[in-house]
Amino acid sequence: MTSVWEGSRRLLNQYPGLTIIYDTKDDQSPHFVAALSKRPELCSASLVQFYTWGPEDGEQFASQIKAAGAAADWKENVNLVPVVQIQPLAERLFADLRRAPSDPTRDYDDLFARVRTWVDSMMDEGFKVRGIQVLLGGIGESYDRSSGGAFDLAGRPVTDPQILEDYRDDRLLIDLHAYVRAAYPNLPIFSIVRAYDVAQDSRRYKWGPVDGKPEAWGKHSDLFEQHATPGKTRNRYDFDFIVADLFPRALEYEAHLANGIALDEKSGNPWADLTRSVADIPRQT
Amino acid sequence: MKKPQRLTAEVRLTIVTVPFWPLTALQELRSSPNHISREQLGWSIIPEHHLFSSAMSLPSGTNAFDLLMKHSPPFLLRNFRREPGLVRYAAHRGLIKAPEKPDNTMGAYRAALAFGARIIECDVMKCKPEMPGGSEPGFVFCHDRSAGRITAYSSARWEDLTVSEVEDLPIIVRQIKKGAFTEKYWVTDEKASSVDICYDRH
Repeated sequence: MTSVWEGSRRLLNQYPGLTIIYDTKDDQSPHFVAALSKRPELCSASLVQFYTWGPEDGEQFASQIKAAGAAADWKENVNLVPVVQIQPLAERLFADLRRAPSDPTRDYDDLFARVRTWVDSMMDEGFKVRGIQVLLGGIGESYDRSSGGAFDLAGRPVTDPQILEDYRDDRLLIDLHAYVRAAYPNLPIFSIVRAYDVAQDSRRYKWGPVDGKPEAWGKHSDLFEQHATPGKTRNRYDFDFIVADLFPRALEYEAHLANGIALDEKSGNPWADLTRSVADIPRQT
Repeated sequence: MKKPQRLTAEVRLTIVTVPFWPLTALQELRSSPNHISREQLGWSIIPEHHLFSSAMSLPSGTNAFDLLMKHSPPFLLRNFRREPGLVRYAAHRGLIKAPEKPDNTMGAYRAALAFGARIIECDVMKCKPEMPGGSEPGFVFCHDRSAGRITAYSSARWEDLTVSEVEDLPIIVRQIKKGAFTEKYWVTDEKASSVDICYDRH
């Protein structure tokens, strides 16, 4: 582990022109923005991602950053990229409404209004918003807003309520993508290719967000598979930025696309395969 | 940036009582009974060309430099605007080459930059302020909220540790069996933090 400020300066000195996207978590984001704002040489070469898990709206985020001791001109200097994840907004919405999800259409409409309001509040606060991350996988296309049903990638009806939420949330992100394009046509939209971190015995895992222990994709595999595959959403949606695991493969994909060739979309990540056969791969010396 | 100073009695006490410190940390870990070889860890050894889906499979006529400049350009934020149809890429958590260069290490970041990326994405975690009652926290590069996956010394949350407590720790990769960590680990050469920071220090 490396101190962020020292490490960033080292990298920027060694690689002039580098842009660093700092991914900050939840309640920590205001503190990071405040600290970064006092380091203008890093502000000008960086973007800060923060999540819907953190501030409830733009006004609250601004006051949290101010309370964390930001430089007076932080709004002019710190480049921000809000990251929209639906779950925290849904939790807050139903807590505010004091009801459980019940009617699919009404729930969907209420939730979409909440998502849109969150985004608008970030845009209206005078922040230097340089993009918005909408991490969709495309599975939401099968989600029916009126019935609240969906079909999985194999065409079977989704019955597990948790998985159905994946589909609903993905549908919300698809609609949000369209909303952002219409409402903020010059705003870049970010996505991500998120590979698995380790695979063993044909099971794929991500590092857990708290203790880093492997957490199986498990029943969320439909969504994670889409996230993990270079090119999967790139060809179906209009993204400006992709934060990519498997960076070389993403470029390879682009190079072929420029030549009219759509490569097979593969989610494999040989660097993370613990049980991969290496018999056919020469050892490095 | 000026190094944080370790001035208070409390901090000195911490230094004395916790066997963190760092000149022998690597040797200590590598002589631990829990230290295993890279082979025992079970990660494949993947040649560089397997970074691509098939060996060096860029279409003929593609100039790799132009490709990189187009899709991961330097000085991104100068005249930053969207260009419909053009997708730009950032290397997520660096260019991970597990187990030697785990995610969010200086080695992974440098691997991405050496490959030609000029946009990288880094996870950051907040630490405790250096001074008791201090206002500005430090930050480290890490995906997880706690230190347990990547260090052998502490499983505490980063928010309960100061940067100066953790900055020199060697980064480990834990052995995984049946989808869970064992007590065993392999110590990487990733102590870039100490290299970077010691470089400044001296």
